[in-house]
Amino acid sequence: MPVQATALPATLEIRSFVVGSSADIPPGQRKIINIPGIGEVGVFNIRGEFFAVRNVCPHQGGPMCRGKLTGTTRACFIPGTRPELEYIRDGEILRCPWHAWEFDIRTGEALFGERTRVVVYDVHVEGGEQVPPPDNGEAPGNAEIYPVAVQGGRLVIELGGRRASRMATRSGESADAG
Amino acid sequence: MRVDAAMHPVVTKSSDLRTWLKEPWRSTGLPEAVNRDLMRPKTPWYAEGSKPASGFAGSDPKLARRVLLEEGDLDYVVLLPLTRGMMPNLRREVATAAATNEWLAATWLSPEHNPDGRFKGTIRIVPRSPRDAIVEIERWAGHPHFVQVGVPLATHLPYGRQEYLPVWEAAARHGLPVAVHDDGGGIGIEFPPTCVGYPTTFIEAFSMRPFNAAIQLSSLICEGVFEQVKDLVFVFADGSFDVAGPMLWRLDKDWKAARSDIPWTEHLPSSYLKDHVRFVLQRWDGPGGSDDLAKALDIWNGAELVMYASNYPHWDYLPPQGALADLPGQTRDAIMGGNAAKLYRLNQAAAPEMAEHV
Repeated sequence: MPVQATALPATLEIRSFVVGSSADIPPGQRKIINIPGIGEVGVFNIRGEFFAVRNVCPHQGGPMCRGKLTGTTRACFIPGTRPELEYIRDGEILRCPWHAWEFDIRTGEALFGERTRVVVYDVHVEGGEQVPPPDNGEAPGNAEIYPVAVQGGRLVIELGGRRASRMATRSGESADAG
Repeated sequence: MRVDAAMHPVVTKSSDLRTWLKEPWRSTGLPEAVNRDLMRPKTPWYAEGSKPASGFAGSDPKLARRVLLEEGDLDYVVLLPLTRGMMPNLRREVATAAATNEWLAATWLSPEHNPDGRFKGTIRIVPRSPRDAIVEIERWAGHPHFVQVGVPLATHLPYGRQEYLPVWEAAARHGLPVAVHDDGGGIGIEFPPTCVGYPTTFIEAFSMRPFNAAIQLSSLICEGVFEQVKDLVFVFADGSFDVAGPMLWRLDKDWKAARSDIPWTEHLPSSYLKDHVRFVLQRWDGPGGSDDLAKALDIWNGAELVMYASNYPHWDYLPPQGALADLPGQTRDAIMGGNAAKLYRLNQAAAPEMAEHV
C-alpha cells in the first residue's frame, strides 16, 4: 500500500524542534531522532551542511534514513558508440535500504521522477560559535577568505516550513514485491 | 484500411535462390528454404490453400494476391521473407540476404506481380555484419515498395549492443522500421532456441520463442538505443506482445532501483514503446477469450502498439476474414490496419486500384 504522509494534527503547536548541538553530528554522520507527533526523522551532516529527512520511504514505509548516502550517474551520449556514464552528486543521494530507490536529499524527490518524494525538513543552526578552519600551516597574510563553519550551535528542524508542506502525496502506486 | 503486417513469401524451390546469388555462393552449398527440423502439429505444415500446383506453399504471388488481397479484402500485405538462418560463413549469409532482396524485387515486387503496389517488401540484412547490412539498406532504401528492414530473432549478441548501432541508424535515417522475426531454424550455429537449452518438442520451441523477442526488446531499452536513435522503430513480427507486457512491468519496477546503472534510459522502460516499438499479433498473443484479449490489449496499450498479421502461408495462418471480430471497433480497426498504415506510411490513394474508390 502507498504510504501517506501523516498530516500534522491541527492542535499541534510544535513548529520547530531542537535536535541538540550541531557538534553532536559531525560531517559524514547522521542521527535518527524521534519528534513527538512526527515520528522518526534522520538528521544528516553532509560536509558541514545539515539535512533532515522523515524516516519513512514513500514507497513502502521503509526506514529511509538508515539507507546509504551515495552519488548517482548521468548519461554521456557519444555519437556512434555506446553511451558512457558519469558519477555525480557524491553523498547527496539517499537510497532506501529496502528497495534502493534513490532520493535527492536536498529536495526529497525520487530520482526516477513521477512526483514521488520523501518528506524533508529545513534545518538550521542557531547561535553557536563561528570558527575558521584549522590552521593548515600556510603563511598568513594572503587575501584568501576562509570558509567559516558553525560549531556547537543549536540544531533546529523547522517542522512547518516550506519543504515540510510538500509532503509525499502519492497515489495509484501499486505495491512492489521486489 | 486493412493491412497484413507479416506474410512470408518463399521461392518456388530451394535452389531457385541461386539465380540471384552471386558467385562463388551460387555454385556452392545452400541451406534449404523451408526448415522441417521440428515436427509441426499439423501435416502438411502450411496453411490450407497456400500451396500452388508445384512449388512450396507461399511461393506463388498470384495465389497469395487472390487469397489475401481479394478474398481477404486486405489493402496491403507486408512481405517478410525468411533467409535460412545464421551461417558459419558470414559471407555466405550476407550473400543469401542480398539474393533474397534481389529475388523479392524481381518477383513479388515486380510490375508483373505488384502492379498496384499493394505488396510491400522487407530488406533482409545480416546485422551481425554491420558494414554489409548498411550497404544493403542503402541499396534498397529508395525502392518504392521496400518499407522495412528485416533481421533475425536469433543473435549471438542482443540487439541493444553498440555493435549494431550504425545499422539501426541507417534504418532510421531512411525511415525504415526494423522487423524482428525468427529465421526458420538455421544450420547449427545459433544458440539454443531458449536461454536454458534445447526444447524437446515443437510446442516448447514454438511457445517459448517470444521470450527471445522480449529479451531483445529489453536489451534495446536498457542499452539506451531508443535514446540514441530517436527515429528508430522496432517491429516484433513474430509474436511476443503477450510476454513483453509482464517483462515491462518488471523492467519498470527494477528501473526505479537500478536506473543509475543505465542513466541513458532516461524514462520508464515501458514508456519507449509508444514511439519505438510495435508488435505483430499472432493467433496466441493474449488470452484466449475475446473479452480477456480486449482487456489485455487495454492494459498494454495494444490498440496503439499491435498490428494484425496473417502469417500466411504458415500452418498457423490467421485469415483476415473475421479476424479479431470480437474486439471493440476502434481497437479492431487500428490493429487490422490503421497502425500498420501509419507505421509504413500506406494510404489508399497510393494503390491505383483503390484510387478510384477514394
